Amino acid sequence: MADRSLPEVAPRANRTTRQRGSEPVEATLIAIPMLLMTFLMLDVSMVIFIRTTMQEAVREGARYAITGQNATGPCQDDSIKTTVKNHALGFLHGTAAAATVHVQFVNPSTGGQGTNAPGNIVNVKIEGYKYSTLAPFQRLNYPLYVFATASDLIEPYTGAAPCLTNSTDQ
Amino acid sequence: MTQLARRRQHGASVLEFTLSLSVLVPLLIGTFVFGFRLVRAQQTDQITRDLAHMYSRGLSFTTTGATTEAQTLAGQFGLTATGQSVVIFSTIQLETAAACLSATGNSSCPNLNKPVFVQQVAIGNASANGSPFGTPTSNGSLPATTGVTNNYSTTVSATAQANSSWAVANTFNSVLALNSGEVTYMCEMFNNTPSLNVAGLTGAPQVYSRAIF
Repeated sequence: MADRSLPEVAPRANRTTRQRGSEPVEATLIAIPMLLMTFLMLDVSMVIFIRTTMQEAVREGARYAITGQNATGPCQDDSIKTTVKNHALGFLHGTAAAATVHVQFVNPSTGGQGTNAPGNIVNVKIEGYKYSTLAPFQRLNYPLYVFATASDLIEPYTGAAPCLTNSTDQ
Repeated sequence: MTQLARRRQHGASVLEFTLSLSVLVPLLIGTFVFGFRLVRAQQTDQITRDLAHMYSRGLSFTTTGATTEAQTLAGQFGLTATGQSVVIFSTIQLETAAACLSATGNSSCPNLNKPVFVQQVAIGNASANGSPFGTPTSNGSLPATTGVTNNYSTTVSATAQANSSWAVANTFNSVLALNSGEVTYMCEMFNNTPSLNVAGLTGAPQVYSRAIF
């Protein structure tokens, strides 16, 4: 009953004019979470893409390492790192990014430091590749790091083992 | 439109919002859980492939060094006795008449032409998961490897390969049909993900991967 006593609303034109003012507010309220979600999806997808790329790069590096080749030099670990960089779609061309590539040789019996002789294990790693997000999530002081590792057993090869620039890279 | 009508619509929009949320929230949770499991499946695929390749080329995973290497490669997955993951290595071969003869003195034996385990090694939480193809011990669990922590292993005797039902790799033929005399090397990995089982709605909280060489 009480509702019937309420006055009729203003004419259409006035109502439209009043609603017009709320549109920018609504658009802003919607846009902020929408943009956050969009950039979050983009950044998460990029991290997954980079990780997949890095995994493939270290895999290629490990496959190269077990053959005992030293094509680009000066030493075998340098050649392995070059192979990794060549398969990383340019993500490892910077000096800081290139420094995240590590080549380790492990003695399979002890688990300690090994050599690049046949029968040892080679670990090719990318450790702590820093991904700079598209959106300013870095203001949250939570940088994203990408890690990837591939391992394999060094195959028998003829001749002496190639030299190593950093034989104890851990 | 009267104010009364608009008020009525307010009530309807709250109901619509609630109904749409009941669909959208599970969809959002499902997307996250599926995404996380997809990434983990990709990682476990890579780990099992690398480990299986080394295993197939003769690396013994019953040593401290190789166990450490597997743990390094698995990194975040925690290959410890109480961790969330386990890696299982199996050597499987087809039992031949010659093997039967050598083991039992008879060219026919219960496991003739069946895939049988020669060895099985597990690194990590072996009590949490076993190979779906079987565990080749009479009691169904792997004994701890002497002197190597987080490592469990068994080598199946020729007699057991010929006679024991527990030595048979059940259903392995449906995955890979072996020919006479062939040996295959398999690496399996289980990663339990209870943290990704949101309110019990998102299925078995586990990622499984397998590589065979």
